[in-house]
Amino acid sequence: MALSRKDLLGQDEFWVFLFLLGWTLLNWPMLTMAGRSIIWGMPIVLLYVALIWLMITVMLYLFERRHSG
Amino acid sequence: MIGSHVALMIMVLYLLLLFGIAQYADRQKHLGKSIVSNPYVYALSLCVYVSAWTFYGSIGRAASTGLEFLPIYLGPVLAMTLGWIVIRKMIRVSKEYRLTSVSDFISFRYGRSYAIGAVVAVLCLIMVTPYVALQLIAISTSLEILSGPHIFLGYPVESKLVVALLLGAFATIFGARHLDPMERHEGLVAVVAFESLVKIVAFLAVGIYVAYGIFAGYGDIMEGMGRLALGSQNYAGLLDVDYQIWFSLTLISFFAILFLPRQFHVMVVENSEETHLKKAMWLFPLYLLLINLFVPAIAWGGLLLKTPGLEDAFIINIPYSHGLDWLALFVFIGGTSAATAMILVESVAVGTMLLNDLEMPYLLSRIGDGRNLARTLLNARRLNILLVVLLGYLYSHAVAYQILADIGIVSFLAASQLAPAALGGLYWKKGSREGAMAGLVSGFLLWTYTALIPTLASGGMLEDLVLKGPFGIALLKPTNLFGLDLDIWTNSVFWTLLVNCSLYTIVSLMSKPSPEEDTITNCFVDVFQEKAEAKRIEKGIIRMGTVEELEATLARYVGDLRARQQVDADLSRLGTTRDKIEARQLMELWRNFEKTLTGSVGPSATRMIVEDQVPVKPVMEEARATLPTYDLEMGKIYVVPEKAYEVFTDLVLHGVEGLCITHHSPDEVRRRWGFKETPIIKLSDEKGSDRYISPRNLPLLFMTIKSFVESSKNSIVLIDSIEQLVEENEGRVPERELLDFVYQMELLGRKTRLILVERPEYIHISMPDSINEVKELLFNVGPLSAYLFRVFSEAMLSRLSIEKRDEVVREANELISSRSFFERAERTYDNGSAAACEPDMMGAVPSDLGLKIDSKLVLSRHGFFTAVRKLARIIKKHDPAFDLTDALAELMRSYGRSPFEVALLPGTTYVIEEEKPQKSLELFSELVSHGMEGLCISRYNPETLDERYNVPVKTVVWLTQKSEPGYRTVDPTNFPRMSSIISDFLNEANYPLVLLEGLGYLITQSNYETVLRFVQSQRDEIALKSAIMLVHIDPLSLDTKELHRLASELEPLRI
Repeated sequence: MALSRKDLLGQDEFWVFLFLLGWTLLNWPMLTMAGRSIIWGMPIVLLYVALIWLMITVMLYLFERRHSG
Repeated sequence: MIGSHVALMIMVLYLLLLFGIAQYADRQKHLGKSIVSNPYVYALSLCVYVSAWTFYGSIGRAASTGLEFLPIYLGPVLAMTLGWIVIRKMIRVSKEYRLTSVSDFISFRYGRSYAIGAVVAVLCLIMVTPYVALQLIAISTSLEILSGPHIFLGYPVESKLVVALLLGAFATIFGARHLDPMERHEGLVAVVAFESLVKIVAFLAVGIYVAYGIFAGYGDIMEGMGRLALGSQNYAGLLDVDYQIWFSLTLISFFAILFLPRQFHVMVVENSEETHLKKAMWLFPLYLLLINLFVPAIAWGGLLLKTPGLEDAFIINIPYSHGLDWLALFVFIGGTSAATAMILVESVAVGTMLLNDLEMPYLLSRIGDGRNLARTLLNARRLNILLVVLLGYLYSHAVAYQILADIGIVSFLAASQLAPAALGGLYWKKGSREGAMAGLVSGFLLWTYTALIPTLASGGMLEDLVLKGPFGIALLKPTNLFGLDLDIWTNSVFWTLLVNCSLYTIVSLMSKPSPEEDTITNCFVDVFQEKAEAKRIEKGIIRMGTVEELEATLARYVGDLRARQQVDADLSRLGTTRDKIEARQLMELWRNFEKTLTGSVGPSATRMIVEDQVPVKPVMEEARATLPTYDLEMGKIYVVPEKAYEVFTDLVLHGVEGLCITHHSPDEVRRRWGFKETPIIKLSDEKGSDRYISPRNLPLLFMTIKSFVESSKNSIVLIDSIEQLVEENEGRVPERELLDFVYQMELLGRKTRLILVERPEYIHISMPDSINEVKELLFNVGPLSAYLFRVFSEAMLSRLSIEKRDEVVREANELISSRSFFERAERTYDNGSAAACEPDMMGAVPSDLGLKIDSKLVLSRHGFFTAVRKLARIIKKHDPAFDLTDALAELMRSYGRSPFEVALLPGTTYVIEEEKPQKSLELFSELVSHGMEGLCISRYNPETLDERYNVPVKTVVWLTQKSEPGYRTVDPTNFPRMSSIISDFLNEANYPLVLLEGLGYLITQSNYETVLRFVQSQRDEIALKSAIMLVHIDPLSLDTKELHRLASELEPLRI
């Protein structure tokens, strides 16, 4: 079996999956994990949301890079 | 305080700078050096999403409710993950049909419904009103912070009014400078992109100043907030998340990014290339991330610093109170950028949809005929833009001051009401006009009740309604409907979308769409599929005329200059000029006319204009109280040599709407046959009346008939006669044009009753009766088959070099001269006057130019394709790389044939080796859909074949031992029965194609030898009947020897 990241990003189903995953990660109950804790002076929930946000942006960037032209 | 009017002056100067940028962008566009058509500008233009709400409102929300400002940006980020699936489809559809607003988009999908377009336009106007108010409040507040109240000529002037007047004037001058058929505004996009840069730089500058200039870093602010939260109950909730409202806001912001009028405008309408979306899909979330990075720092820093004034204004008050006037001014410019970009794009978008979907149909019906409407339309658009700003100003007075973000949510909620109809329409074919209307209206009313009224309620009856419910019924309280105890926004999201989606679904399932809606639905949902193309070609009912007529019609709505530019651009795209345009290109130009109009005036108005262009409207004669003598079926073509007018008259006098195309005088026809109202068109070069069409203007003639047929549900068309038309056009118009006309008439014959008045000698089928049905015209009418062969042979020869072409032509002409090229020297028809001539000499084309084909030659379909293959063989001798299917693919498709048909020899059984019979079934389906009569013997359930491969159920015989009612089945062990089914089919079909699939199953049910014998016997039967059979074999289901024996009996076919 050959695995290809390019193929993965090129499939509509992957993006639907990423949308649903993003939705799940950025809503209840996943957000409750962060609670009110603070790390390095920052609320964990803020860092967590920013991390998921950044992750989605990077995936979209990779899609553009690999499928440009 | 910065000096009086300084901030205002800077704002005016900034607006002038924006105007300069727009002018520059437009000028560059006209020079062909667009500065806008690149993915970075496109991505920045999407950031119009970041309005004054973000600039001021997010900080207010973060300061009052903590992290709840975030979901407003999470929705758009998540939407970008579906960008390549959903947004690209929206762009593709809008470009394809030139839809220039979200109301156009929805109304076009539901059969160009005026009602839906109007409802969406009104909803959008109401939806953007709070949002525009928000911008005015934000800018005027920051203006007052910097400069204090404004006093002109000794009188205090309200800042909001000053801002509204300034932005209103700017938007009016800027947003409606001209009418553009494409509604693309490069200047606007350039300005929005520039403002996006200013916004983010200003925001980051303040963020960095607060976090690192005032505090000792982001962590310092957070620690301070932690201490504040511990010490005060008021701040304890700022680090908490209300998951309910978080979910609701994410959902509505997800819909808002797709359907807010301004977002739709920049994302879909202003998109110049689909590929730009790819970069925007990650740049836009990145921009949002950056601009939100310092929101908590500014908001919570403001709280820690106990900054005076509104929380919304922390971003301007913090630097201002610390003496950094320049930074405060820069932030003011950033906020002005956010507000002006939003107001500009929103007012242009809503102004366009109000004009196209609400006012245009009214204008057309009241100020119609012949007047040039371009100036009126431009002024109407300016008024619309002003109206948007004015309503925003009035709302800003009506609303009790709330934090800005709450006002924005009201608009987002309204935009969400468009989602079921728009997304459903994009993906769900059963979504209907009635369903969309029910969903939209219910969602809209509930939104008004649960979201809009509570924001307006400040005292009086409205406040009573909100606090106690109507008539004191607490269960019906707008903010807590049925006592679910949801927060105000979740309450509204839940009820509006629940009712909207439910009604859309249920009413759609209960209603039956019109044929027009059906066609558009298929084009919409299947926009990425090639099949949609064919349907598109068939749609549209427009009258054909000259290029000048087209330009004049267009000029009425977009102005002379724009119309001329548009026509010139279309002509250039077609590779022609006004003087040299051919009929085929003219037809294409007129087809484009509807799209251009849609771009200019919207789908509903276009529908009215196009319908107004129908030159002959169906009319019903006063019906006789007797039964008709003749009964002609709809969807058939009849040749009636003697009593065509009698049959026609009989039907039109019994309730059928008729159109008579004749070479005789209309008055004479009426007098003789006694019908009064039925339109008659005389084929003549006489001018001055719509009742005459030149017999050489075949496109006009065709479109006239087509528009008539498509406007009637029960019609009959008489043409007297094709023979005269052919004679009048012979040598004057290209043969291809004649062929196109006749073929299009053949297609049109499926929607009406078409009567041809022809001499029996001119029609090459047996005509035993006075009324004879003819199924196809190209091979059965006069010299058309010879014309067709000439067109086909030219397409084949055009692929050769001059030397090779000469050699091929010489060799083929020798065979033609020796009468061994065409099968059995196909017969010629008698055209009366030339009966004495030698067939070879009549209409022959000189050999040095092409093949010497007799114009009166008649080829049957079989003879035609045999000759084509014979020519292909000669060509292949000289050019081994020649591919017949490829050379004729376009031609075959344009005459409704599958390109594969030409490669398949009648009388041959082909074997297709593949694991699953996918290609075999697709080929069968394609050939059947293009006119061959098919029989498919298959192991698959007929319904499955229909669903997956579009194989008609009636063509399938299911190999099964069970007998299923409603299906034709055959026992896999009953070979005599199978043989008899095939034999009966071959005897009945004119143009038979058999697909045998499921050989592996047959072998397991009996044995290999029996199946082999069966295939052999069928192969012989196919050869005798000149039919075509396809046999699918899974190479893995047989051993090598078995496979070889079977395959050696059949011709291999590679697809």
